[in-house]
Amino acid sequence: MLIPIGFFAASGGAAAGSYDLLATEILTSSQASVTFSSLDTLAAGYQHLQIRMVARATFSNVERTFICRVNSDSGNNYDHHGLFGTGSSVASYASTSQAKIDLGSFAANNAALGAFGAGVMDILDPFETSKYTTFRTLSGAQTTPHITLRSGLWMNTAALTSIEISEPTSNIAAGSRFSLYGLKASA
Amino acid sequence: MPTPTYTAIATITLASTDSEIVFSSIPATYRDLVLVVKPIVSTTAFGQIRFNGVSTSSYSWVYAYGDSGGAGSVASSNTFIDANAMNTNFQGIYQIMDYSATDKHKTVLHRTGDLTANYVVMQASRFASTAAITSINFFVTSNTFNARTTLSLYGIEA
Repeated sequence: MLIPIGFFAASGGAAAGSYDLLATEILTSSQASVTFSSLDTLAAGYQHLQIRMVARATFSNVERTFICRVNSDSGNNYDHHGLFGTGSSVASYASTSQAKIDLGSFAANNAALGAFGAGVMDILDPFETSKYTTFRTLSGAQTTPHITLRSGLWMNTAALTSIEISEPTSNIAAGSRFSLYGLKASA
Repeated sequence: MPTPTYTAIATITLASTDSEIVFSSIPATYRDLVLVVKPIVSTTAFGQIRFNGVSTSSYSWVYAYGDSGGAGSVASSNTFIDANAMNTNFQGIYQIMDYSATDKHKTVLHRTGDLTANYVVMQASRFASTAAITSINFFVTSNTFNARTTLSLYGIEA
């Protein structure tokens, strides 16, 4: 069945305000990190956040692991664990009291030209000051090959004010894209 | 200024059996697409995806799975993306990232599971083309989709 959808896309529209695009950064040149800041104003009124990303590192390898820190906290205040497949095996790990959260593997400079990795990270209750903030990321890059599901925990009840994503040993390549979305609770 | 997004582009519910469903003329309005698949099949069917009608060896993937026999991981390539085997209780969500970008290959992240075949899968796939995706062919082999099979396509702005 063939469904031409140009008409529907042109005439349709989103239900107002439950899942909103808050900010997007598309790199026109490589840079060390991407930061979404001033979340107390940028994401005011939202219950949860989501970051959707398509990225590549400049490191001379086929893949690199991107990391995340929040509120400029580089102390050993993060736990994270993951389940991943490499195309030949599956494995899991758990790390406590770390200085960052691992997001997963993305393509790097030696991967096929034009190949990137992708990830979708959900950040739950980032502004609730009675809870630690939790993160869940599905990410992968066929070029590595690597598919991962990771969880992270920031052991601080402070509301999030910033989220920094980086590849700690090199830069994030031009063409990479990071988009921040807010999800509202019901009225 | 927040921009409401996650727009329902099209939903197809089959009125009769079919082996292929095509979304065509996909506008470049959005940045990501999300394809939600809830099929009805009588016995095992093997789901496959092609973009822009491309049937050359432009597709590759890596997945990790868990089933009643254990867990494992597979990497492969073919003339389509393996959308995973479907049985009577399958569900799948496919995130087609940066589909409208013309400076990169296309990455698809998906999660599927089937409660009859007793497995769960997470997968990353690559369509080695920098062309914007304007059509999606979702088809099955070894079987057909039954009536009431539903595929829904959503667009997310960035």
